[in-house]
Amino acid sequence: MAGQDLGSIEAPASMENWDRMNDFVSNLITESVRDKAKSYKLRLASEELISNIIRAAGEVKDSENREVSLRVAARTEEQDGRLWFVVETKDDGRHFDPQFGSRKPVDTEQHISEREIGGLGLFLIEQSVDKVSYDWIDGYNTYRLCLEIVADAKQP
Amino acid sequence: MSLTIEIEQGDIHVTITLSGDVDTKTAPELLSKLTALELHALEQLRLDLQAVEFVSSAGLRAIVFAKQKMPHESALYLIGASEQIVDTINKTGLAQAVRIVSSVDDI
Repeated sequence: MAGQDLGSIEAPASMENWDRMNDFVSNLITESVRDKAKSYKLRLASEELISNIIRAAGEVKDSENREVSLRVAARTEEQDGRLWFVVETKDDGRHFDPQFGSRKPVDTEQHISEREIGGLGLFLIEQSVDKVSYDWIDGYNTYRLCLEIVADAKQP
Repeated sequence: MSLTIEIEQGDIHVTITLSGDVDTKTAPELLSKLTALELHALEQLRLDLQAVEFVSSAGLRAIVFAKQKMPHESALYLIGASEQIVDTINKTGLAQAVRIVSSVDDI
């Protein structure tokens, strides 16, 4: 199975489009990823990312009275004999660097009574995929989630 | 995907049976139902997740909220959670705050 472009969707980053965005990605994942655990992890990481972007876009709408656009694309890529499922997002919201790999980690040992609610989404993104990256390119927040998948045909 | 929530009051416990996905869109509804309970006086809360396919961080936050509001010595059971949901709970360290069981018979 060689790499292929699976499609993209672009719409205003708002809760009205939340279902469309997530359904787009989860349907492609279901079609392309055989492994149930990997499929779930990809869906989880994608949902967390899309939700974070839409949440931040809501703040932009409230404070700057402008609509943020979000483009979500999915593809499979073959690199070094390995097959990857890749989800990429691109939005023109406020510049936000999640500092993947260097942010203060969620304290998973902390007692529940002291647990802070924030940060779980970004933590789950990092924990769910093999590679995650962020770039600020030409005024766009650009995220890339990659998970290695098994390169055999999905059963019909 | 949607979420259905059924609440059953027992003698010393409340059972919330969920069906569907607990995600960014549906978690507020669960949070609203949890807020309406007298969590501060609840000895035992049972979340039946046998028919739940997906839980995101929004769902986990609702669970954390419930446990934080309950008495220190109380118990919050997660019943029949899928392997993937249990894995997420373990990853985030929330397993220390809840009791994960396969069925209500294990309570």
